Amino acid sequence: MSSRESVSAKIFRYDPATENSPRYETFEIPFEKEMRVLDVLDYAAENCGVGVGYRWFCGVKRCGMCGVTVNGKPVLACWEKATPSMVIEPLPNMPVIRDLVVDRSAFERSTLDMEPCLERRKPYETFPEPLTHTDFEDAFKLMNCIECYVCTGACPVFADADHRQFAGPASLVQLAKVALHPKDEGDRVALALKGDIYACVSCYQCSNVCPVGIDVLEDAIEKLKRRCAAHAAASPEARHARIFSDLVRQFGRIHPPTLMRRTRGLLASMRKTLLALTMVRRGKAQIVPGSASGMDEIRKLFDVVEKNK
Amino acid sequence: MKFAYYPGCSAKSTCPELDISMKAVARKLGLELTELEVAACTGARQLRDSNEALFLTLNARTLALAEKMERNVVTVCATCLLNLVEVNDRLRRDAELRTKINKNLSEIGLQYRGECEVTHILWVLLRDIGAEALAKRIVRPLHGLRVAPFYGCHILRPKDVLGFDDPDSPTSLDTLIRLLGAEPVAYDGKKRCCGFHVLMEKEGVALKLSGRRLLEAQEAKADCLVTTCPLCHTSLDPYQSAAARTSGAKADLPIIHLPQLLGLGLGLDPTELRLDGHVVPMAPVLEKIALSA
Repeated sequence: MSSRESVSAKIFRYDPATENSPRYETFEIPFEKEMRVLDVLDYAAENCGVGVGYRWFCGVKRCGMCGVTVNGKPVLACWEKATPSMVIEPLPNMPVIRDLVVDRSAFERSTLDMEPCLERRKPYETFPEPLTHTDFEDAFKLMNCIECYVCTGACPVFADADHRQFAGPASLVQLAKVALHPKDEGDRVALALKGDIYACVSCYQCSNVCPVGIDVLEDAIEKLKRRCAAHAAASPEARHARIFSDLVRQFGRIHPPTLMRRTRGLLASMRKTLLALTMVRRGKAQIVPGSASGMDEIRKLFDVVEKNK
Repeated sequence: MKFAYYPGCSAKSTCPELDISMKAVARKLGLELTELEVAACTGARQLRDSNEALFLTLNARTLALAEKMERNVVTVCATCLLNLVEVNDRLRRDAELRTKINKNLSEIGLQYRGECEVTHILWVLLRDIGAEALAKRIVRPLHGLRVAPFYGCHILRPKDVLGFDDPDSPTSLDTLIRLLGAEPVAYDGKKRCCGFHVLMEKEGVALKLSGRRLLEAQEAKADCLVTTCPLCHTSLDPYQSAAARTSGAKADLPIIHLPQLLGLGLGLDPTELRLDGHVVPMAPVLEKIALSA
């Protein structure tokens, strides 16, 4: 241990049972090589005479219990390197039980609502069943998920919009894990829509913070959305994707007023008349759609892709 | 420097001022842009979320067209950037997929080879031209102007395919603002989401996100906010009053495109940059830098 180096940890403290509002306490902690955030919390709890509340179990990125926010980024305390100056706060989007311990139960319920168990209806053809690595590939990537809910903590759909109908990325990973399993026969489209999957804003914050390196957006959420789109009648949002695609086929590019009118219907689009007029005045809306040139090639490719499916 | 220029649908419809100012800035900097006029939409999120083969094929066509011109692609839209970079990356790494997509392209007499790079104008300015060379071109320093950088999700994340900036503490746009003589405003929202991609389907959610971003920048006392993507611009400018209302607040924050801000520093005329093409008027910004429209 170096005698000079230290870590300054500003830790969120709050006991909702006895305190009206959160406060922060700053601790100077001797720095040790390879120190993790969890070590800093351990040191503060053991040596600073304060009972900082935090949760952990395994200490090796398996149990998923030690999610916290460090300098604004949701991370696992056991895996994140300690830096000289840290603000340590609870995971966002979840009620605080005490200090850094949050109540994940609402999101755990969302996971259960996604019914993440393999559903088999037909009898097994043989035993053992033939299954290749390639069959399994998509589902396999998601089996690394440790259910730490760090991705859900990073999601702006809760943080900014407080849109609680959304199941959140962690629960959608659990859904995708079974939906992408080659032997699953459950109605996963219905569940994805129940989890309001189209509230996802495609910002990649979930992929960015995942401690086990799952590309949550592309390998789980987007693959579920593709399945929803294949059943276009299933929801207005899946229909919207179809309308978008038809517009590209028609004009090569998107004409926003037409996209809105076809997606929302003429009547609902009329509510945007004032905005539309302002935009026309500023040259920001064209009444007649313009086309890309090269439309023959673009349309041909639509047909070719459909044919070679 | 020569590029195949991909403006994207938005710069050709909702944000024509972006396309116009980009071309004006390119002329000033001696960047030769040849527009990919026959290219299709990159598919935003909707096409990639619904028809993967079509998403790959249409973007492979755009890349193949640029290859034929022997040029790298430059775009002014973060979402187009990510789509093109990602398709390029996947087709380069996966020979089987490349063969499949090339089979589609062969029907229109094109082949994708993986020979061109895809870049964003922000990257060109800082990586290809370079901060030092660019600084020499600034004839009208924007002293005293407080600019909120707004990066946009798809120029930062996913980091492994984009790789230019750090998604957790990005600096490139801040650097550019400083280089222009203006002051980058520090605020939490700069790397967060504007909500655009659900604006059509879930307007309530989208507007709450853009509303939060506007108020964060406004609380940090920004004179204006600069975007690298016309989609962010759309949720922050035309939808500004509706977005602020979701937080029961008012906003009056001019939203400027990156080429427009740069153009001011390069000494271009506000009308050449189409600074009158926004819903929230740019006049306060021009007053601050002692220019009138």
